[in-house]
Amino acid sequence: MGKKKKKNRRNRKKPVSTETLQKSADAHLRAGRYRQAKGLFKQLCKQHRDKYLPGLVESCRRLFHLLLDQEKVRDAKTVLTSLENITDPPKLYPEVVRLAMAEENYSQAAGIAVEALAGREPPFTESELLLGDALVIAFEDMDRSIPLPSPLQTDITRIQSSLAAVAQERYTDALSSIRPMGMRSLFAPWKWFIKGICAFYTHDDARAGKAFEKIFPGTVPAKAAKAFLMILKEAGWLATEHKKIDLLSDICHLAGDEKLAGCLPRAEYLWRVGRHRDSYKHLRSRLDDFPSQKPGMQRSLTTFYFNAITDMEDMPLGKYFDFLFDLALQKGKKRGFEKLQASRSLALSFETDPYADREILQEWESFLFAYQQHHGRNKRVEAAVYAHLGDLYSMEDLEDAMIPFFFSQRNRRGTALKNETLAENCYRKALVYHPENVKAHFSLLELYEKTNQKAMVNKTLDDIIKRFPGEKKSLYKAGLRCLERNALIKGLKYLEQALNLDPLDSTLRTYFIIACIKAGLRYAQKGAMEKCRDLLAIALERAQGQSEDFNRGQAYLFARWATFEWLAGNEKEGAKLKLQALDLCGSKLKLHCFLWVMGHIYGVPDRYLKEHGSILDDIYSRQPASGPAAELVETFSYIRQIPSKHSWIKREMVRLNRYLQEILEKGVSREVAAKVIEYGLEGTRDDQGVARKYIAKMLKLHPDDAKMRMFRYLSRQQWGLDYQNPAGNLEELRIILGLAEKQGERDFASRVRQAIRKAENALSLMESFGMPTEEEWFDDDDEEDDGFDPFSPPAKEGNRESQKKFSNRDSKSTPSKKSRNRQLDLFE
Amino acid sequence: MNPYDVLDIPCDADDSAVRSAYLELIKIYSPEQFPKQFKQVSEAYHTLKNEDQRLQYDLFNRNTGIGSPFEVLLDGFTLRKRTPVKFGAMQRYLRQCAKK
Repeated sequence: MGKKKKKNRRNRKKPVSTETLQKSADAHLRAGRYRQAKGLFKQLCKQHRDKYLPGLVESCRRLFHLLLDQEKVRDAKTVLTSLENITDPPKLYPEVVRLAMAEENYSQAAGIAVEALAGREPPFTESELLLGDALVIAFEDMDRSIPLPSPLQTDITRIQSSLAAVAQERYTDALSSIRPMGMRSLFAPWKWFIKGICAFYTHDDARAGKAFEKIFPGTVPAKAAKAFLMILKEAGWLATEHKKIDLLSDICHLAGDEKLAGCLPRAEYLWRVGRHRDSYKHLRSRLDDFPSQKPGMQRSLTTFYFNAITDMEDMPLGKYFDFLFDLALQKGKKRGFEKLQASRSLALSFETDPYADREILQEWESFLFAYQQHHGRNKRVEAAVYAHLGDLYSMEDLEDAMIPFFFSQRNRRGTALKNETLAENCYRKALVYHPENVKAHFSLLELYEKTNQKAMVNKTLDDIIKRFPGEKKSLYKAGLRCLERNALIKGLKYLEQALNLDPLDSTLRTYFIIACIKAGLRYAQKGAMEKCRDLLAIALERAQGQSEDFNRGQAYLFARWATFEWLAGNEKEGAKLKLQALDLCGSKLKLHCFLWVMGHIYGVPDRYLKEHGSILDDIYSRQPASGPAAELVETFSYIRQIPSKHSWIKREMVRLNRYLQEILEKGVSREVAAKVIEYGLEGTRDDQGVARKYIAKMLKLHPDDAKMRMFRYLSRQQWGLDYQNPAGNLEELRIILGLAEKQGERDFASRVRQAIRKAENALSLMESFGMPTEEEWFDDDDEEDDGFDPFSPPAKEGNRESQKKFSNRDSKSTPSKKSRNRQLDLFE
Repeated sequence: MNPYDVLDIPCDADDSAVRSAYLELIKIYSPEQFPKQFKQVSEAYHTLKNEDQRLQYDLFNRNTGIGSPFEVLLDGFTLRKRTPVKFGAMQRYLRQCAKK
């Protein structure tokens, strides 16, 4: 150590060469260390004054501006005095003007600016622009005896009148006032500034931003524009600039809120550094009307502070929660509103806790108590709170939903809910407080539906219909319940009432027609054909002419009517109706197939159906073709939904599957393949086998076909092959999305995105519940699947459901799919 | 942003006041010219359009979508009518900037 010190001392004593001094002086100047540069240049001047004086002047000048930027006016003044000793006064005009403005001595600043600008013409230097700023700023205080050159006088007047016009919201006048000013003028920065603020106040943010950015930096308008530019930016800048109290308070001034300028910047700072309680307290102590529900910023801030807890992370949440808790417990009427808000926030924050059912109820009841104290009793509020709680408790238990079905607590009564009993109690309380609350009635009904309490569903429905006879939804639901119970005529009555309320509702129309068909069949079986015909005639009135829908299409209604006539032995009437059906239908093969199958299901004697059977036989005996295959697939997709004990239907399916496999060998279009795959994936194990073959074939031809890859994904999901690998599933979905976007399939891509979101949610839920890993689920050494495993377990109902949902959405590639899904099961 | 502030109505505004504020604002913020503002106004209207909706909002609104108190002020600039500061205040502001 001692040696080093000696060495340093020796070094210090060594005289430094002029060259080295100059180099380090330049380096300090470049690095913005003006004070050090000034010292070195001073030393250099002693050796060679003329050579190093410009360096000394420059370093002093820069130091002067730096000190003023830091608002150290006195220090800057000292530097200026020393500058005046080493340079000509005229060269220091800009500095003198700036100092005068910093000292708020505007008339002096203007006087010097006028003197400096005498005889000057464009183009102007950077420092001369500052002189122009002084003239604008000091215009009011200017000594009128000082003669101002006429062009300058005109321009300053224009700027002043333009600023006055902006203040009066006369933006067009403001702009026209500054229009004659040239861009090379001394006041060009002011022109851009006025253009910018006019655009800003008229919400033309893009134009405002452009104008502000064109202002020459360092000028007064540039400094003034900074706050506007910050407003136009995304709020992200606050993360780094929240300590700049001046800037934030400028923004408050521009927002026209002088009161906030004095406290919001500090509140922001406190909030950002995690002192949330202090932030709130700071505003409360500085603002008379905070918290408040009166219109304005204070109301927005109130909402923010009381809602913030719902977005908070664990750490600050605890402290803020305690703070709100204290607010909720405080006494005195003066703080009633604050108490109420805090109580509401606490209740809302409890709702995110999955294990706090009772506490949530208690918190909301505390809120109602506080509400009663502050505003008096309000039954509507009480009803709304209890209905809200009912909704909360009747939500599906996510934790239970994530557990595979064989481990779950779900019982035969339906979905596992958060808290069934509390949900029912809360809905009932809500209805006591506000019996006319339609939503609460329906929510209670939904609760009973979810929990499969049929008797309660019917009772509630009857109650709703009595109470709200003009409510379409209740009539519709009641109609459906009657259909389920085979009370067809009663159901028809309800549905007709609902249809009268909204004749354009297509779902209602479908159910109404279904009810007519069901009742018509029953009358035909009893031989009461008049009643049957009346019903079918009513159904036809509500049917769609050209529709290929198996329920609502007129052709298929005529076909059904024909089978009912045959059922009653009316051969001629049936034949007539059949001809009408054939006239109306779009695809003859579909109608023949429909007649043959439905006729048999209804129990129509074979002789009436022979013709249709032989048409089908003929199709199957010919060379397989894509066209008939697509039509048969559409028809059987509908027929398959009918729960039938007839074994011949299964045989028909097998025949169709064989036919589909034969076509595959010949080659099919992508569109037909998609139809067959969708049909297959929703069907039995054999049907799924056909679908898999189609997928494999199509992917062999086009490995990057997004849709086919999606089908493969769904198929694997259906077979439970990827159940243990949610991350892999997500990855596959992302690849599919990329391909879909590349292939320009926008609709399809948006559906894949939805699937991705669901997969992401499922994954995060699994993670949050600490679900077992892949290894924990299956600790055997299964080989990796390249394709489909024929020995895999059968499809799970849930998976099939999700696959169904997905394929239902893809209406573009499967035009008949949409209509098929509306075709409801008549035979349930 | 608080939908009441978006529509610039008091908390006890009735259905007609909400509707007229909405109609007034969509005249100013057409969907073609101001899509963002139009969306905000429409959403605010749908949140508050009837008494039940307003009650639901008043009792159960929770998402601020805002990270700090100052963002509340900045958020207000998006939609709230931007009223220019008075001439004198602007002069003071400019002089303050000149001092820096």
